[in-house]
Amino acid sequence: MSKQSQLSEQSFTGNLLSNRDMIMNRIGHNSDVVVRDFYSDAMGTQVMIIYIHCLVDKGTINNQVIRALQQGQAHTPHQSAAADQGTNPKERLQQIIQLGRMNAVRTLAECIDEILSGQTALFTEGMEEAILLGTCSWKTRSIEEPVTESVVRGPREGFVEDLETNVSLLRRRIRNPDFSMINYHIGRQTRRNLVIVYLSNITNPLLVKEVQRRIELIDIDDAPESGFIEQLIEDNPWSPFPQIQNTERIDKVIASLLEGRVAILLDGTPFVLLAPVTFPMLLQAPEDYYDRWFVGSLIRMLRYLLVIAGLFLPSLYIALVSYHQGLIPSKLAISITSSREGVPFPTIIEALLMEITIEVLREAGIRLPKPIGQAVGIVGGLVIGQSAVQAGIVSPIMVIIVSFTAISSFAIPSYSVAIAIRILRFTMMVAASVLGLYGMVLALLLICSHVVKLKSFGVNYMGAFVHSKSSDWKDTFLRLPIFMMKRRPHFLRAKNQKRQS
Amino acid sequence: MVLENHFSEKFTTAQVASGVASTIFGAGIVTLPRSAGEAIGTPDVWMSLLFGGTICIALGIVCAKLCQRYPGLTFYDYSSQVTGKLIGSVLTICFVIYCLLVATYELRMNAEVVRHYLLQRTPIEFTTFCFMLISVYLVLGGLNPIVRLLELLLPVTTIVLFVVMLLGYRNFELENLRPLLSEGISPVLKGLHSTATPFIGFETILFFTAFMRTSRDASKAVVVGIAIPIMIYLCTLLIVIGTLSVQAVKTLTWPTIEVIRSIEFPGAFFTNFEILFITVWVIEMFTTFVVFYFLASLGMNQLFRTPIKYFHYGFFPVVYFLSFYPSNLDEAFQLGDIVGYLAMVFAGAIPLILLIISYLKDGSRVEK
Repeated sequence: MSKQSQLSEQSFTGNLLSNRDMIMNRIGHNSDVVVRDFYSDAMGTQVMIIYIHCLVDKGTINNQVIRALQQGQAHTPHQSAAADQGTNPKERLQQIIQLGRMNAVRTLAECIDEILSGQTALFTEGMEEAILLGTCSWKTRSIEEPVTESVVRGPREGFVEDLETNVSLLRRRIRNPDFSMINYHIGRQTRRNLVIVYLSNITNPLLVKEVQRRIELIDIDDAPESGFIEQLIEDNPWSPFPQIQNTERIDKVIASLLEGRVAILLDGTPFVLLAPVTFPMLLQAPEDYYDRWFVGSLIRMLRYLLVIAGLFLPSLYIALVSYHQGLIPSKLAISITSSREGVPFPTIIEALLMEITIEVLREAGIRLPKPIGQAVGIVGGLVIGQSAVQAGIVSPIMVIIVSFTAISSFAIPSYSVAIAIRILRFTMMVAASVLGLYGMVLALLLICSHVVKLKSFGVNYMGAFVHSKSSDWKDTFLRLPIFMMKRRPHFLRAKNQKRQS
Repeated sequence: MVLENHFSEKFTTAQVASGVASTIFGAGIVTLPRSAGEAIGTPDVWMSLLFGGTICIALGIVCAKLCQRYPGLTFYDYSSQVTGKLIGSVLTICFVIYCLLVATYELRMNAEVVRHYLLQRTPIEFTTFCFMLISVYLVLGGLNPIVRLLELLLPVTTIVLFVVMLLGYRNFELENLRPLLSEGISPVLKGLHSTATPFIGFETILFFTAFMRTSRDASKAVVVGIAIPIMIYLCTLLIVIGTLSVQAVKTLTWPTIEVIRSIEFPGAFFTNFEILFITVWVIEMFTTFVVFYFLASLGMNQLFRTPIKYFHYGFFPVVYFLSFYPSNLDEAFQLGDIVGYLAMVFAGAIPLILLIISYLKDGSRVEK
C-alpha cells in the first residue's frame, strides 16, 4: 500500500522516456493501452500520447490530435513566430490542438485516473506536465421511456446509465446558473462518478452539507447501483420504509429539485436518488400534476385508500372471521361461513397460503421474459386460484381478498413503498391472528410509532401530517389547483419559499 | 449531525393543542356517562359537564401561565425553583406517582374493555403486555415522536368518535333529557368532580409549554385542547343519556359502547359501529398512556440525573403489575376515583398554589 501511494505521488519529469516508464509501470500490462511516440512539426519537438483505445474516439485522436501535431503549421498562423520566440509549449499546444477540453496535471495519480476514464495524456519533451485531452467516447443506451414508471400523459424520456447524458438531460431542462453539481468518486476499486445536484438558490445549504457528509463517509469497493448509495446513507437501515426516493424520470427529478430537494446521480445506473423524502411524496405520481386538479385529487385519495386496503384487508378478514364473527354484518357472515365450509385450515393458514402464492407468482413473473411472465400470471392467477377453491383448500372470498390486495399494491406508484406495505401486511396478518382486531390496532400503533420516529435527512417521514404548516396540506390527500400551491413544502426548509405569485 | 439543530423541532401551537386533546381522551369517554349519572342522578349531567369543562379550561390556563413564567423549563424544574429544592423534589416524586397511577388506570381500563368486547378468552396479562411493549417502543424515542403521533392520530380519531356518536341520534329522545334542573342546581354542582375528572390530561401543558416554539400561545393551545374533548364528551353524554335515560345509564358498566352497539343505520350494510369506536378508543388510550408514562420517567430523570431510558425500562414491571392490583372491575373503578381526586390536587391545586407563590416571590416579572 505504502509503495503504491509512493508511486502515485510521483510527479512527471521533463524526460519523455521516464514519463512513459512511470505510466507503463502502472497500466502498461494491458493490451489496450496505446502509446504513440512521434516528432511533431508544429511543436518542433518529440511528443508522446497515451490513451486506452477502447475508451476514446479514434476519429478525434487521428484528426484533431495527431494530424494537428504532425502537420499543424497550416492551422496556427503565428506558430513560426511563436516558435522562434520560444513561447511556453503549453500555450502553443492550446493553439495547435483543436479540442475543447484540455487541462494539465503534474502527478502520476491524477494522470492515470484520467487516462482510465478515457482522456488522452500528451507529453512533450521538456515539459513537466501531462496535458489531458478530452477524447472520451463510448457507447451508451439511447434515451427511452422508463419501464418502471410509465405515464399516460407526460414526458417519455428517462435517464440512462451514462452519467454525463443524465446530467445533460437535467441541464437542458433547467437553464439556471444556480444549478449546482458536486462531484465525487465512489468506490475504492472502481472510482465511479457520483454527482450531487441541487439548486443553490432554493435548497437548504444544511441539507446539501448533510448529504455531502454522508456521501463522503462511504468507503466501499464499488457501488454498482444507486441502491448501494441509498442503503449506505439512509437514516434507519432497520426500517421497512424507503427513506430515499429513486426514480428514472427526469420530470420527477426536476420537480424535486425545485421543491428544494437534492438529487444524487451515480454513473452506471438510470436510477437517481432523491433526498429527503416523505411518505406522502412517495404516493405522488407525475400525472397527479399533469391532469386537472380534481382528477389528480381523486386519484390521490384512491391511492391512500389502496395503501390502507393493501395493509389491512387480509388481516381484517382474519380478525373478523377467527375472533369477532359477531361483528360481521349478518348477511355477509352467512355468505362467508357458507363459502368457508369444507376449508380445512384456520383463516390465518388459508390467508398465508394464498398470500405466499401470490408473492411467488409475482416474483416468478418478474424474472421471466415478458411473454412467459404473462403466461405465468394467467396460469398462476386463474388456474391456481380457481382450482384451489374447487379443491376446497381456500375459500373464494379469500381469493378475492388476496387478489384485490395484490392489485392494490400494484397501484402504489413507488415500488419500494409497495414492498414495505407487503412486508407490513404479513405483520398485520400475524397480529390479527394472535390478538384479533386488538392486535391489528396495536400493530397499527406500532407502525405509526415507528413512522413518527423516522426521519429522512432530518425531515419528518410523515411530512405534512406532522409538525408542519397548513399550507403543506394542499398537496397530500388532495392535489389542489396549481395556482393555489404558492409555496414549496415547508418541511424542507427551502431557502426561498415562494414558488409562484 | 448537522441537520438536527436546524430541523430540531419546537412544538407548534397546533401540535400542543392536539397533544393536550389526545391526552385528555382516554378512559373517560366510556365511563363518563355512568359516573356522571351516578353522581348527579338527574338528566342535567350535560350542564355539569359544561361547568366542569369550563373549570378545567380555567385551570389549564393557570397551568399554562405558570409554565410561561419559566421559559424552557418543565414542571419538574420550576417546582423546585418556586418552592425550594426539598419541596420541589417531593412534588416531583408525588407527580411521578400520580402519572404512574394514571397510566396504570388507563392500562387496566383498556384491558377490561378489550376483554369485555373483543377478546373474551385472551388473558389480560397478555393484551396488557403487548400494549405496553409498543408504548415503550414509542416512548424510547422521546417526547417529539410522541407529540407527532398524537398530532397524526387526533384528527382521525376525533372525526370517527364524532361521527359514530352522531349516528346515535336516531334513538335519541329529548324526553330523556327532561326535566331541566328538576332538583335545582345543587346536584349539578355536587357532581362536578365526576364531570371534571374525564379531563385529566390537560396538566400536560405544564410540560409541553417548555418545548413550544411560541410559548406565549400556550393558553390558546390548552383552551383549544380542552374544547375538543368538551365537544366530544358533550355529544357523547347527550346521545347516551338521551338514548338510555339516566336511570338505565347508571346500571350499565360501559354505557357509551352499549349505545353505539345499538346503533342501526337504515340502508347501511354495516351495522357494527362499535368496531370503529373501540379501535379508535384503544388508540386514544394508547396516546394517554404513553404521555403519562413518559412524564413519569421524565420526572425521575430530572430528579436523579440518570438516563431516561433506564426509567422507561424500569417502570415497565411497575406499571404492568400495578395494573393487576385491582382484583376486579369495581376496584379498578375505585382506582379511577383515586386518580380523579389526585388530579384535582396535581392539575388544580398545586399549579394554582405554585402560580400564586411565584407571583409573590418574583412579582409579575416580564414573561419572555
